[in-house]
Amino acid sequence: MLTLKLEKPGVAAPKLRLSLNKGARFKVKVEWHCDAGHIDDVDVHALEARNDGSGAKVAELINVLSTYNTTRMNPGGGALVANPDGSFQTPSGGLTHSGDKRVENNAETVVIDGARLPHGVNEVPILVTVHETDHGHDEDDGDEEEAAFGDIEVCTITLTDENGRELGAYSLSDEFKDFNVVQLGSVLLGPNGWEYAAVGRGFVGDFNDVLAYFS
Amino acid sequence: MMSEDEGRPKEPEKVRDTPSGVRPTVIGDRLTGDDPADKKPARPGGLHPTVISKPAGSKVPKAKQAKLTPQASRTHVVVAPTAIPGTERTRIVVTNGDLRALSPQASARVVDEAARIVELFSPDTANERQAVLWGHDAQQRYGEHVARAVELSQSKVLTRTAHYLRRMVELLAAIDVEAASGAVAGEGLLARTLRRANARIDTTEELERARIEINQLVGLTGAALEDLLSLRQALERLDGDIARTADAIEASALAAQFLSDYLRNKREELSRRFLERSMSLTQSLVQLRGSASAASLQAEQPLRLITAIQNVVLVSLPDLLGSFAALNTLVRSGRRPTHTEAREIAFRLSDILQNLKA
Repeated sequence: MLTLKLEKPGVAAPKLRLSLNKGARFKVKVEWHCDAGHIDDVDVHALEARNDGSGAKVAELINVLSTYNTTRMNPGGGALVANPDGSFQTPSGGLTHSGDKRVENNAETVVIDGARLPHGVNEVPILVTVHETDHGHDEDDGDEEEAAFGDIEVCTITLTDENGRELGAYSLSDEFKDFNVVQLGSVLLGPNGWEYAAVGRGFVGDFNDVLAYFS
Repeated sequence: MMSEDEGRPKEPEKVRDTPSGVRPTVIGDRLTGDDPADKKPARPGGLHPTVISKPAGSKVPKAKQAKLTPQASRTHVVVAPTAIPGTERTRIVVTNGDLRALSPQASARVVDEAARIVELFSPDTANERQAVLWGHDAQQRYGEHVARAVELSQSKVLTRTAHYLRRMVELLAAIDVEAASGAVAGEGLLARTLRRANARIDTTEELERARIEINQLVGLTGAALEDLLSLRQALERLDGDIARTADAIEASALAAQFLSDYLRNKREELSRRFLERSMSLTQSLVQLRGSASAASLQAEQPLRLITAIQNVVLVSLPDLLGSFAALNTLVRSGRRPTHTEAREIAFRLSDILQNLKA
């Protein structure tokens, strides 16, 4: 029987490869402690983004996990429906938020479930913002400065894996005291599955600046 | 040597026809070969499925087969995060090996914690205040632990219960069962009179009075047990807190030492501050390790009291008091216990005394 060798010299046939890691789970927790009468609202946000090599982008609001994006907080434009306990999630269930907390000495969490993130989503940027809700001043005090993480006595953000191992952390009140928006990092669909990569960048702005950059 | 045919997909196997004649592509060897459908000839003109057999000798681990990530197969792999423009806070790269080189005796827990502390440190924003206050919280906690240890060791329930037990031992040690029950034969009037005047509990009346007082002490000691258990828990918690604080201080000292070295050529003044903190924290650690053993000893005292109360005062002693009462009733009714009966009670008394003194 005649047979032919089908491989040409010098041309290695591309082998298909798959990541053998399951979709991992990550938990982002932002905690803050400040005096009564000095209530700053700290919010943690995450995006179900697609990165084709030119940066992470979000096309629809349903992929934006933010307290600003719930029908409860933003009946006119919010895309995500909050649960009775205040928690909410993206439709895929890949991102879940514990719910908005506004009182002092509190915490918010976001859980990123790699196994449930939609097809095509390969980057989840994680951000934290602070804005002023009540500084104990008169409402007509026009000289009030914009809130910054340095206004809060202690404000930290941590990211842990499903075993509770801390993969990243920042003391926002120390390291980003002059800023009110910080990108902690991104959870990426890397060659070995979902993994966390730190960014640690801060600026003065608001969440719409974040959306403008990632959309 | 392997022939050209080996390892290549085998000739397509027959599988059940679909209405359209199109058949699925199957990976792996078929498990059943006696399916009648397998024997059915393919429909003329129908498409045959491609069946790929496993290459001979190849083994795919089960766990890996079960862990395929659908997204990874269909989505672009991202190698670096998309960073929003802004001011970046860099981190110091530190390994456990770097830290272990500075402190070879440190436990893995301490080295891990020190690495975490260093990784949280931002050289961009570090200032002198931060260096001066480095590990200060842990040192403050140590001071609180010392104050708490003193407070717990002076607990009222501890001193009160210790007093109850001392009095019990005093009374029990004074009892002469054989004499008090009249089991000693041939004793004259003078001897009996003298017995009343001595410090021993060797008459029926004295035994009865002692029995009543011991019974009161048993009640009081039993009532204190719950407070004593709470005290013991508090001491155990304190012991754990001291151990955790010791680890935190040691980790802070190690991290400060590392940062002092790291900053030596970059920020000399800050480096000196970290070195000072490292020395101060190490000194606190030495003191703390010393007081930790003292705290452990303090925790043993309520533990001993609780054991004595639970095993002796609340279990053996009431039974002995019952025997004293029976003895008293017997003597009052004009009878005397036998020498053996009296000795039996005396033996039990001796056992109880030994246990209480231990």
